[in-house]
Amino acid sequence: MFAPLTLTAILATSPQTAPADKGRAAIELGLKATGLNFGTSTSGKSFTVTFDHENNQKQVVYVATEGSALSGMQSHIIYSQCWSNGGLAPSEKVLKLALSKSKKLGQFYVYKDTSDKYAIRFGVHFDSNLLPVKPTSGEPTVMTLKDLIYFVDAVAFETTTEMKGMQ
Amino acid sequence: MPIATLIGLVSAFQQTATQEPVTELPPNLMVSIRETNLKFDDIPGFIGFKFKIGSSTRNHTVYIRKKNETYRSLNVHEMFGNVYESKTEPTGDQLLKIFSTRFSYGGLVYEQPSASQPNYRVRFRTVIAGDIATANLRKLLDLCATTADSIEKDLTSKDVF
Repeated sequence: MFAPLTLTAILATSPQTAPADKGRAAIELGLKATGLNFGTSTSGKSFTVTFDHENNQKQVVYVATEGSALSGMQSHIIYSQCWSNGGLAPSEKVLKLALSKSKKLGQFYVYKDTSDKYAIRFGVHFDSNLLPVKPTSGEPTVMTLKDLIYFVDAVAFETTTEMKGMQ
Repeated sequence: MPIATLIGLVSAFQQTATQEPVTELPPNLMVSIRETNLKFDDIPGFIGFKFKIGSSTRNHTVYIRKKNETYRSLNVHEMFGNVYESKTEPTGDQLLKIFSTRFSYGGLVYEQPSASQPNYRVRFRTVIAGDIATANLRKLLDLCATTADSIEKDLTSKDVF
């Protein structure tokens, strides 16, 4: 366990329980302004944007409905799953392959849910406090939100394709 | 709460994977950097800030990469703090542990040896836009320093960076 420090970006809470903070209304308005079709995940914890790819493949990008309050920001993670093997922990080979894929921005990380099931995800963060009260499609921060979603989709789909079936 | 305090110039510099060409940051980002009133070291490829961590004796250096990255409308610069560098490869268990860390902002990047550098490296990073406000820049510098230092301490028990 990490020693508890207050002003760090490390989430001190359980990974399965994001802090209940503000930001849902702002991020929802921001998503509407992007013009992207979005829904809500089964859990209600994320908005979802589904992208169609070749061979009828789909990639779902999740945008956390609630952000983490951090140093004046309201930070929402935008992520997509890249690999899973029935919930088993990634092998060393899979882990090193995924983690070595350095991208322009964003990070790969290992996610473990409440049932101890593992997956590898790719994600970025977005500060919803940067959005104006009434965001419009031409607003730079709206374009940032939209392009972050596109970027996560592109990276996650490429990685999903490359690592499909790896154990 | 701990505050990362700038203690001076970068005394030793470890470049990341590639030999960065000397470039300049966009003028508005340099303005924000100067407006933080932090001392910084302008070195080839990077701007470096050395912080003291809270009331501890620990220090950590944060870098802003001069080379920008673009994607559609995105135009960003990497901000990072190194947490591990060694010719010894981290074990799978070590990587699984630290890359399972959940962050409310930023995350970890793993780098294997390459033609340009011989070490295994891990760094904590985020990105900043070229037009970042000065106050936000200062907050992210502090955050990057304390977070990277916390990870380094837990992973290696050392204070190298």
